[in-house]
Amino acid sequence: MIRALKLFRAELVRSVLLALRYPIELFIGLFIMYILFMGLFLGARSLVRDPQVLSASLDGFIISYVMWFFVISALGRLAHHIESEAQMGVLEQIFLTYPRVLALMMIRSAVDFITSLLMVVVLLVCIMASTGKWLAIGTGNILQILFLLIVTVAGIYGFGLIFAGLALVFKRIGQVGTIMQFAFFFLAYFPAEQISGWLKVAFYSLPLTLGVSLIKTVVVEQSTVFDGTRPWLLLGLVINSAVYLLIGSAVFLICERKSRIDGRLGQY
Amino acid sequence: MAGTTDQQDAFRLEGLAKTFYPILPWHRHRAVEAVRGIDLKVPRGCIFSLLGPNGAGKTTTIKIIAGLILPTRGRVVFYDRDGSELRSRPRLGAVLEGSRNLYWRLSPLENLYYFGELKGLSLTQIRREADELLEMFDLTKKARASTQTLSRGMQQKVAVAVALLGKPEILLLDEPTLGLDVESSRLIQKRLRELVERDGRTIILTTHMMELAARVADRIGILSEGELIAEDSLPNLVAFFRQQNYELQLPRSEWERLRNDVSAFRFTEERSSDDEEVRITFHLDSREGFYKLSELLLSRRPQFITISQVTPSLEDIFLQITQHYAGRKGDEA
Ligand SMILES: Nc1ncnc2c1ncn2[C@@H]1O[C@H](COP(=O)(O)OP(=O)(O)OP(=O)(O)O)[C@@H](O)[C@H]1O
Ligand SMILES: [Mg+2]
Repeated sequence: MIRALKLFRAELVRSVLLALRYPIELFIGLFIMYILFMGLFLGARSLVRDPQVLSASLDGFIISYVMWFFVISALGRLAHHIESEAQMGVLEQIFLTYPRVLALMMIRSAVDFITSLLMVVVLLVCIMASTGKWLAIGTGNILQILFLLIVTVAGIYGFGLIFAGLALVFKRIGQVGTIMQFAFFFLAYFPAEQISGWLKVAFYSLPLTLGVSLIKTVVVEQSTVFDGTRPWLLLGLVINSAVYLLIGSAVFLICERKSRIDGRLGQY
Repeated sequence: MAGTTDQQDAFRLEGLAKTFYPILPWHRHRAVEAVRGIDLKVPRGCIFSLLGPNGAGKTTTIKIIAGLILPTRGRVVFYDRDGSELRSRPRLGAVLEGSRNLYWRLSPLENLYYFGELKGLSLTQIRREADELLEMFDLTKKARASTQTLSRGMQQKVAVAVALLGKPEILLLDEPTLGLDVESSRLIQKRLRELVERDGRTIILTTHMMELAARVADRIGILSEGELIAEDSLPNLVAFFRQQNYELQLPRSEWERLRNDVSAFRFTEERSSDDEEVRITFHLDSREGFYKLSELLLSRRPQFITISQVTPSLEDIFLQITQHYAGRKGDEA
């Protein structure tokens, strides 16, 4: 455990140092996400004339968007780092120094989650200030939200591990990641609450969907999912994320082995 | 010179082989046999140099030892200081792609800290070792500069310093002095020697630079097309090849008379500048060869100027072995 914390510190320091060397990248990323949101928002406003309807659905709209922000980073960041580290030549040094690479990837995911969270706070404040719509996030529900957020995003990191593994074997996979981001955009926005029956169960077994809808319950409806009246929802979310995380880990391990067999950790 | 057999082994390669298969199954016929069954014992506390032409399998072998490539057959066995077999790979240090084994956007010190923490060292331990290592490689002044602004040689030294963190028993270096100036190269050599002599560490290094290998290595292994075709200490290799290389100097007219009779032997010829004399170096496979050659020559009664045993340089040995080996392969085919 202490070892994990130390690794966490090492990864955190490394990623903060690297980010600070090139702060422009960070700013541009945030700025693009902000512009994109405002584009979507203004577009929606011109379509939905009724201000009341617009206001009612805006919370959900913002939440889905912010969740998608997490998705982008969770899906692609690990793989992106592996690609560039393989190209630099530093990946082999990492594998040699810390051979339990899956554990290292998990720690990197945690670091990445925290940096994403900080960026989301900035993005969210900008968005809320621009739209005048302040989400009901406060001391009362912040812990519930964080819990739901962490569990939901953990499932997405499962997909991140799959891409990281594929990056180990195939090196250039950036394109696939981009396409997946759009698939997740759809999942973040799909109004799963409005369907019912088996279709709903099927839909909730996809990543992201259940988590987003639970977070909306807490933030938009100001209700709670922790009062024990619907325990299967929380249980479902935990199982959902655990399964994707497990699948991701398994795929990563297979790919790691494959890349050690093919000798593709370095430049070759 | 180290490298006697009574030394304990640091590790052994047992029937190590590696074939790379292309990712697409229908390209399997393009498989590359990079390493073809290497057996080797590397004694503790020595510098072992792997030599071989391009594509001989040096890098592949080193990466298998490092655990970065899984072998197709065979295994690497590591031993601890009292000679018992280790269950897993001990901590290794490696510089495999030279200066590229670092984060270029971080400073040398930051690289040392990051990799030190990955190795599980405590911060105080890292601080102490980092100071020592930076001092050792003359990098203290550049400790906080961005690594990408350093010269190639300095980057290379940083990479070696990172590899030495945590005092690994075994150090693997792939072309550690490639592209370095004489001074940096000498400094690295000197430090490596100290590590071996003072701390009894074991170093495996590949290189194309024969002078480097001749100067620092206690033992030398020559790889060709994935096979280890010679392996011994440098003095033994030289002594062995001394017995196999004979040089004749004689007038050109004499040589023309003899030439056809000795065509069964392998030799190289060199003419003097006035074209009056030739110098022939015979490469013989065994003592027998020497007796046969002498008999033949004596029966012709040439007017010798000189005949002498040649002390080959490592480069001569290398060329002779690899060429001879390639020739034999060609004959088989
Ligand atoms: N990951 C890989 N996938 C496929 N083939 C490979 C891979 N790595 C090496 N090879 C092939 O294996 C053979 C041995 O390569 P290796 O890099 O071990 O040689 P080397 O002795 O280090 O050569 P050099 O002196 O050029 O560095 C070469 O034919 C090379 O093309
Ligand atoms: Mg090589």
